[in-house]
Amino acid sequence: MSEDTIRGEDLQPLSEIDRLIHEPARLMIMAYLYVVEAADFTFLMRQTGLTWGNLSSHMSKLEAAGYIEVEKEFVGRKPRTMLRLTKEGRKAFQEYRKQMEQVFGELPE
Amino acid sequence: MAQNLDLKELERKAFRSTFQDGLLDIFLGAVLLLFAVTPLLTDLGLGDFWSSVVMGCGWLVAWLGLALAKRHVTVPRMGRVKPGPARRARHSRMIAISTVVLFAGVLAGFAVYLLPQPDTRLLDWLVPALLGLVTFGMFSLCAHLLDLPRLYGYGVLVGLAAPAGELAYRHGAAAHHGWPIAFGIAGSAIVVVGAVTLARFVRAFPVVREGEP
Repeated sequence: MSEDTIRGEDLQPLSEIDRLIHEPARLMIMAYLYVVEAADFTFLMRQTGLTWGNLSSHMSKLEAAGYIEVEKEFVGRKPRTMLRLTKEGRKAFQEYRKQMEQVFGELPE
Repeated sequence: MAQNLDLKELERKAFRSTFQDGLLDIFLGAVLLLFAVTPLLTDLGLGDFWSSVVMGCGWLVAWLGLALAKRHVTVPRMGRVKPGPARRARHSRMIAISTVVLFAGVLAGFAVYLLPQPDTRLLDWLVPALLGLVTFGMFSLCAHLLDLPRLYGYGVLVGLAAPAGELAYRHGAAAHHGWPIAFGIAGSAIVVVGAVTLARFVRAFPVVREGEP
């Protein structure tokens, strides 16, 4: 077998990738929440370029997985939704990064 | 994908987005305009005490204006973000170093006045030069620690204002060591940049109301 051939075990980490995070929109959301302490809905909408509905739907999935926590509050009479990564979410994101680096690092040129 | 995801750059982008409203520029320009206007108050017959009161009130109004505008203009358009621990540590460093630099500048200024001077012409130029250096240093420090390169440009502009004002004063072209003209020009230029940035920001980012698509 030549060195350039991709072996099955090289791709093993791919099967362990967290598919919930791997989706591009959710990956962006997780990445933004990873680098800040907390952000509100509007901020994430502006940064990711997602629509309100789209962001909301991804948020629900991440919240259901326990990766983010959602805090609803009222500032005056206006509602505000603050979002932050949970410990579990932070750990899952770090794990995801490690796995992706491993996958691309081990692939032959 | 993960390999192309530069988290440092992402954090910088998130943080800098909170400064694209031009409000900081307007605030800095307004403060410089205060430095330009305050010396003129003595011409109107106000003593040092009342000039200082006007200066203090001006600072307060500028701060309040900045806080209110952030709350009512920026947050409804750009949202709210709490920076991470690394950014907060950077802020604390900036405040600590700025305080030390400011103190050193004030001490150096006092020293220049208190120490015996062999040549008074040296003193005339030393103070504006020192003021220019300290302000340039402060702006550069903020530019570096806040990741806002345009503050370097402001640093050059403001750093040159005091020596340029002194030069105009020495040639009889300006009163009050040239502060009204030099800081007036620098402050106005920065306010104009801020106002244009704010107008663009408001046009580019309409208000978002939670729950609306």
